[in-house]
Amino acid sequence: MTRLMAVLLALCAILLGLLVAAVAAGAGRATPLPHPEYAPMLVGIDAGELGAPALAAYVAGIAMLGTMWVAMLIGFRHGHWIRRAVNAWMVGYVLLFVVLMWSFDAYAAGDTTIVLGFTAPTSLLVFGLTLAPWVPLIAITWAFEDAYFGLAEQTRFDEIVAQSRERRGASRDARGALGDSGRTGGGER
Amino acid sequence: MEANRALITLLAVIAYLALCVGVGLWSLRRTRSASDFFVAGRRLGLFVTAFAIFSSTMSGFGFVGGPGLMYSMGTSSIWILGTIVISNIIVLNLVAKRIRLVAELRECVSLPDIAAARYGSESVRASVAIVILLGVLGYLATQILAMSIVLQGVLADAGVLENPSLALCVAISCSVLIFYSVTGGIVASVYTDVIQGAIMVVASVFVFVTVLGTFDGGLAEISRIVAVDDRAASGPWGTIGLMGGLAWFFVFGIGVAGQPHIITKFMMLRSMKELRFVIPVGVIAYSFAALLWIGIGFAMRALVITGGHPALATPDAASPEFLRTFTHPLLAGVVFAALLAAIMSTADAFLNIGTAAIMHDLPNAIRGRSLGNELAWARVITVLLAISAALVALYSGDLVALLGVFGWGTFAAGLVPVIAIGLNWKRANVLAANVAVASSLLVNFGLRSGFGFGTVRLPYGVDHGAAALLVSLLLFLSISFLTKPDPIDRDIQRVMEL
Repeated sequence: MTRLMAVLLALCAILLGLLVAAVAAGAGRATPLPHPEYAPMLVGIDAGELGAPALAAYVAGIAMLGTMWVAMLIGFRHGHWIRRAVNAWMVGYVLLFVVLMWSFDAYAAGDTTIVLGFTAPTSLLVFGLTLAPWVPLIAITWAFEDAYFGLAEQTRFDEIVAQSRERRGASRDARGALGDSGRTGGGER
Repeated sequence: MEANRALITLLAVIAYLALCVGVGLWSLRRTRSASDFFVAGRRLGLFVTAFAIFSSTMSGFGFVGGPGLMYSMGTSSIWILGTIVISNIIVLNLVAKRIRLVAELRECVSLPDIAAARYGSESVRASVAIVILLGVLGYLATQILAMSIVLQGVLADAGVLENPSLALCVAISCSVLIFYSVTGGIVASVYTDVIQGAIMVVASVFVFVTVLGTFDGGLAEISRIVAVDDRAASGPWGTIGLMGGLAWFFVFGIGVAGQPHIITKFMMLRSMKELRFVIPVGVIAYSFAALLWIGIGFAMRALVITGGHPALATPDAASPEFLRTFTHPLLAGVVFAALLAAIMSTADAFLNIGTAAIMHDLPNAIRGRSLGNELAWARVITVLLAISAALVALYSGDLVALLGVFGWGTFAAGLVPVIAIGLNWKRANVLAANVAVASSLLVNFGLRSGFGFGTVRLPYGVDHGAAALLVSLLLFLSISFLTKPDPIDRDIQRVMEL
């Protein structure tokens, strides 16, 4: 857990560093423009000033996916295959993002191929980045009791609850006439 | 039927409001204690929880703001929708199990209760309660305002009243909201959410079918028209640009684990077994609702470009205009009811958690005990909070918009580290938690208000919430690494190991 948190810290530092560097350099100040005929509709300037440097975009995108990867690894039983499966899937997910970036390069160069109702890179966003996490979601749902919370955990939890209530009951009795404070969430060290 | 379009819409809205009142009365007998009022006595099953989570997330923003974003910015907001599946996995992994277990262990009725149990600190309870209260006031005010604007349009179109005032519409819509929230607490809220969620899903599918019929060639033709007019608008980033899209993906992907109206629902689950299918069911519902978001906004953009509809005065008019002009009157009626449903389901969730913060969490943090007769106080404070939010909505001018946008980013920045990370990482301590909460408020308010000098614009259209989330995560993790961990109660520690 501590290692994962160290990775998360490093990723946040990279992302914040990029943002601070952009602020310091005065970069990316342009904004989308009102449509010449149909304002408040906006038109983009992605192919111009608003498009961030490609390397920074790759770093930012992959670092953001990295934060999600860390968040997706927490909560499973240690050593369970689902953690390795999430790692493998995340490699594929990052590759999908890279393919989207390449596809955008082709789109920016003038290719307007439509795939499943959207331009090719947008289609990769809608049917790729958006729907690809169904793979781990189905795996987690399938392996729920084995990897996440099963009968053994429920039994241990019931024991913890019983012991905790017993201790708190004893502590309340000891307080005697003071009665229940009405506080919830507190406990015994 | 076309001649009676406005009347049909009005009848659908009246039927829906009557249904809410009915559910409120039905829930009255099922709400006998504060635990019933705030966490439905921890008796909710799979479908009720899944739809309650979905409905309270897909607010008026999903039905009006989302299509408005698609209309004005092209595909940019697909980066928000793109997080639907991955963000729910993150919620499941980071918070769902821990919150459910700690809530049962310590009989918690609110998120600050959970924070107090995890950190053994009343100061963390207070800071979490304050963040929630500030966010709730803003969110609630914007939802009330949206609800009243929808009602105003429906009443005016039907010719029931000539120029119905906004104040009157606030009074009518708030009365229904207050009635069922006061009588039935969260029980009424979650059961109306189920109805609201079902209406939203069905309506979204029918509207999307209508969208596909607006152009020969369907969605492909819409994409082509938008791309010919402006390539960026049909590309993967839309008009906000690459970094802006990625920033949305980050703040909505990770930030969902800090949204109190979503994550408190896990406290209400009947058993851990139910958790297994809550997320997949919720994600399926979200995905259907996303069809409306993408479909209406994109189709309206293409329609305006090709002269099929006059240009809109505001992006938020995309949804109502499409419904009035292109959908069957019956469907329009159902969707307007669904729109009101979406707004009310979010409003009632905020009303509930705001009430808990005022009458349960702040008194507990300040004087070590909550108010006596919690159920009666909960009802009184629900009324007062709704009235305060209504007044903010009516009379605060620009403040309501500022508070509204402030909400998601602040919850994300304030609560993701403290709750989502803190419930999983034993090294996290009280100092880190309090600093993370303070920084979330400071950075968010600071960037959005510029401390009185106007909004600070971040480079490349990066969202303020993303910056605030990065700062608070960085501070929370660094402080926890650099300072000594605080002792954690033994039972909480053992639950964190499960």
